[in-house]
Amino acid sequence: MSGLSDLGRFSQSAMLILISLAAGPKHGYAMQNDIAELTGERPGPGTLYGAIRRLEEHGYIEALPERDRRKPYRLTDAGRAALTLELQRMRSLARTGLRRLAVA
Amino acid sequence: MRQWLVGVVGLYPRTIRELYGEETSDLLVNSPTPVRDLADVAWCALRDRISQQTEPMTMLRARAGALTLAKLLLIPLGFAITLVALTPVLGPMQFTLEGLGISLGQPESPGYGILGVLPVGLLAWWLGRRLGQAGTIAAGWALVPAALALSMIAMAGVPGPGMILGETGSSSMLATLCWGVGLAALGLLVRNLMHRNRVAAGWTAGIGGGLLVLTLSTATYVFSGGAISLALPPDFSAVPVVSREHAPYWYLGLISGIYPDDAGVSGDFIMLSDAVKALPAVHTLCTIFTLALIAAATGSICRTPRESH
Repeated sequence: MSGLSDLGRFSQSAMLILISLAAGPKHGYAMQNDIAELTGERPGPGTLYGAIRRLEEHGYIEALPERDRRKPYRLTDAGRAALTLELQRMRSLARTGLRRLAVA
Repeated sequence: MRQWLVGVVGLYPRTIRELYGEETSDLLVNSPTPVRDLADVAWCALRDRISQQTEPMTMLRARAGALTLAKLLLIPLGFAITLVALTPVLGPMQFTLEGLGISLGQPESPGYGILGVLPVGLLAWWLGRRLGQAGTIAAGWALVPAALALSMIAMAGVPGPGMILGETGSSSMLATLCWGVGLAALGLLVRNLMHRNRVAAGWTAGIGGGLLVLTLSTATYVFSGGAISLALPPDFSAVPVVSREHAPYWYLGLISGIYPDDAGVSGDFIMLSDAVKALPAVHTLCTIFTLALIAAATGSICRTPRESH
């Protein structure tokens, strides 16, 4: 598995989408609101669907049948594994950074 | 109420638009920050348009792209050679027409006037449509004028043979740059009108705008010093000058051989024709080629979804 870094400039938005979908399937509008709550910044529609497209292409998320003219997406097993790996990497990085700060 | 915002989704490549266009439009229409989101969608759409062409770049695709670019770069040279090659055929034809009382002026070469532009223009039209229908050129409204202008600028820079595009290389380059920028803007307008199925408006804009771009590029050549004695004020030079008030007719006069009454054929337009040589004719042919390509490419894109139903 190559990880989220493969998504280039969309890797940050992609991770936020995966975190949003980790709680269950959501459509674009719900994802926007959830990410706005998480980060305090609402992703634009172009950025959001740019990242969604790349996540779908990598098989990290998949579309479900439309409901109320809106298409929900859900995390796949590959997406769950990629997110877990990325969060573990971030946790390790954060731990190291905090430890060094404490030493300094 | 905010439906006009949705138009920006049209900037996406067709495949992406078909997959995510409706959802993106929905978020845009209901956005609490429409201006910011409009900019976000426009920016992402343009980046997708460029990256879609580069991401799946295989050797085969790269070779096809290089071949298309090579074709585009060779097209102005091909037009110029054809115009020159037609001169021996068109000379007697022009002489015959003048014998019948139909005067087409006296351009540097009959091939550079309407006699040459008409038949080669048909060829340019056919070539443009063929390449447009192949659908191999993304963002043709920008890429095609840029490639053709680059090729003509390179031609104008060649000492000796480059003078076929005007006696003064720097003026030819500047005029061609003006032509390229103008045609790209016109191409975008025509493409957008045709995308909205406003075909008649597209053609009207194409023909009217094409004439305007060609008039401006010819005037740019003269005013940038390409025909120095013509551009300077009358009292500056002893050489007869074409009055600046005839600038709107310079292009049409050169191509048609029909001059304003007071300019006459006594010298002014002949001098201008000597200085500018085949530049207006080659610009005209490249304009026809580009507009035909854009129209054909837009037509094939618009047809595809309907045909697939």
